[in-house]
Amino acid sequence: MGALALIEILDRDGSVRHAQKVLSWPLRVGRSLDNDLVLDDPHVAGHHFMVDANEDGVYLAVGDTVNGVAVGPQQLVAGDRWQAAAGPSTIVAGRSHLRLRLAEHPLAPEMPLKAARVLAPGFTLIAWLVGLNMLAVVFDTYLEVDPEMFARTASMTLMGSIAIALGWCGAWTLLSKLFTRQPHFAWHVRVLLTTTLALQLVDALSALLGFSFSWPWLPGYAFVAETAVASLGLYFHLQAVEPHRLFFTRAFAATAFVAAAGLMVWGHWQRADSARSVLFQSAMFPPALRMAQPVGTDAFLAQLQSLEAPLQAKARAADDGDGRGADDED
Amino acid sequence: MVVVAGLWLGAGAAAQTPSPPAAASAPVPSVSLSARKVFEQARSQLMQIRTLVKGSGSQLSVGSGFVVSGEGHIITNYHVVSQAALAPERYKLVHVTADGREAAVQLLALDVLHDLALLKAAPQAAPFDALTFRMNTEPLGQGERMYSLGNPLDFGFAVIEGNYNGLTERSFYPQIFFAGSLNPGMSGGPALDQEGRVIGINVARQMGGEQVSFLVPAEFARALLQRGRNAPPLDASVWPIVTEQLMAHQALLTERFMQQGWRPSMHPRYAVPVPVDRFMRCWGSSQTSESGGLSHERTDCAMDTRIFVGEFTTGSLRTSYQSYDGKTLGRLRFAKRYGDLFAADSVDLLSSRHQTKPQCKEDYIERSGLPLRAVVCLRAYKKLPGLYDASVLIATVDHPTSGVQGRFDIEGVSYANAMKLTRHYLEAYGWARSH
Repeated sequence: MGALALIEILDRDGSVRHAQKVLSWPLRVGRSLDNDLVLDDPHVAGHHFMVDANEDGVYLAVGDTVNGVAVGPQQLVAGDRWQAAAGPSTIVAGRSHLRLRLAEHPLAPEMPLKAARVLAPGFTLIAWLVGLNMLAVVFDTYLEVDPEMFARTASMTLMGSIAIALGWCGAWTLLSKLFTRQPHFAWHVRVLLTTTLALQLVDALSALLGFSFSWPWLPGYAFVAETAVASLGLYFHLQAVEPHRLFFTRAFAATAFVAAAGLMVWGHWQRADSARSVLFQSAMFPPALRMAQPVGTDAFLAQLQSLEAPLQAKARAADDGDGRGADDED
Repeated sequence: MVVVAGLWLGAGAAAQTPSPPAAASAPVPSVSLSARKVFEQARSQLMQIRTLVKGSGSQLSVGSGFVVSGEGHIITNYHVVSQAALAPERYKLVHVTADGREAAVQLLALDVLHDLALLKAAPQAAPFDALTFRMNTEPLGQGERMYSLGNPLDFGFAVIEGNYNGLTERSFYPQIFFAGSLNPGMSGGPALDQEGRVIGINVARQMGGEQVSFLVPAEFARALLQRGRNAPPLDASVWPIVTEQLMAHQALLTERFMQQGWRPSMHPRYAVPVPVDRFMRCWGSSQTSESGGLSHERTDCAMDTRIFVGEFTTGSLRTSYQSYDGKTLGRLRFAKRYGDLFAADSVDLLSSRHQTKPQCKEDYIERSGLPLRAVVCLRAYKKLPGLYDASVLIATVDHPTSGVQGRFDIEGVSYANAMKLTRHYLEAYGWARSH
């Protein structure tokens, strides 16, 4: 007689830890030893749930449990029943993740190996990213140091950057290996190199446009875009650590973005009562790239007049605060 | 760089240990008979002025002072009494005579601009012995002997012999250049001529200098005595008085600064504002890069005079400019360095305990066809309502491999004068005539 179903215990990375054929209904699952499938999980009840069949088909009946059972997105409590779906379903009991496959479920076609390895970028892409990043490091060094110091400084900076990149990717690789049993080193390299390129692009573009059009707010708020890029980088790194927990990784990256950007805004506010990261735009480019037209001295001084009232109000408020003994300034 | 240190002795300095005495074999300097005579005559008029913490009664700082009227009026430096004057709820003042008697004193009047204060001792049965002022009609000659008296480092009253050297050059308010060694604790003590008449009041010494000290001319003390002789005691905090006097100072400073104009620019390409050094001192430097980098020339002008307010000084102007040449660097590298140097200019002049945070405006401006990047940041004083600091930062943006960056720091002026001085500075930029 063929198996009626297959019940699998999944690892946290989604791989199958244990699989058991179901040769007859019912299938009792729980912590007690008289179950057909024993789950050694303290959050699982003695008789947590049972899978059985009747004229309507296969169904799951939740036993006497405080934690209930989650079937896909559906949360079941003690006494609930769930009719089996047309495809394999994941079942969570306590902290144990299970999958139920019925004999009548259609068999999914074989997945080619290539499609499964989505986190393995091609060599050409990595080579491009490495090349572009090295160029960026060399160009940055070229801008920073005097001509006679360039060759020596560039080689040292390159070596330092490579060491830092390897250290960073190595740490992520260890995490991936720990959680998914696959290193995903090339993926982490790709994420890091793409993120650093994007960060430099945001930085350079905001400075250039700020200079060109006299938009000091642009480099002033570039930190928001840079934090978003860094959070995206974090999200993609996490994908190779927790590939089956999309919601968690997205929430983590979004929280990191909000927390980092919020802390930065708070820090900037403490310094200058402004969310901007810099007091004024300082980056310079060759004069030919300046598009903004200069204003006359009168017009510029007229802009300055608008600062008097807020400064006066802040000074008065601060002095009143001192008078009440509430001076919390640095 | 010029650094002048005040002579009041604060709590931190009081803990210092005395340096060991000179070796026994060192020759003993001959004691000047006139110094001994002057000291003996002035001894009973000398006072040590102490600032005490109310409650615990412990000593916060000490300075010197001297009696100038039979009713017990005492002249000292404002900086000696500033803590008690600004926070009378926390500190009080006492005077200690040469024979060790201590009694409370009251503050009657201030001259913050000349760093003077008028105090009054509690009345006593007999009139006080008072020092007299030497009249302006009897000017001293350079090199004449003088005697500065006070209580250096809280070790006891002392007389220091030195020479009169006229008025210091480039000071905004007149100060006597005294060639003698003033020490902390002597602030507010008198400097006397050979007849024991007051010529000046000890106020500061030059850091890093040898026997380069400064006195406030006696005429300002005399004026303060006349003005405050019958004034009621100042029991409340003196911030409003300090503000009023600084307001007068900034009006005079702005007027004199604008009147003196700018020096003819020496830059081959641009007209760059460099002040006439009537009450400012300018220093220059030049550096050529030996590694093919940026070469620059720099000029810094600053006033020696800074008005001591309490925990900070203000009422001063500073300008500087740097001329950069980066033809060996190329356009991109020069632009990067030029921007980094512009960013390095900080506008955090004072702690935010005393001032609001900076508020800035920036734009490209044009002076006779010369495009400039202009940034102006302003901060308001919290305890000095109506007074502001402004920093004006300028960078020329016309040339791909060279440029000038200038800076004008204005401290403690009204908003209107900050605008006036900013305009004055901005309008001094342009092309050089030879260009």
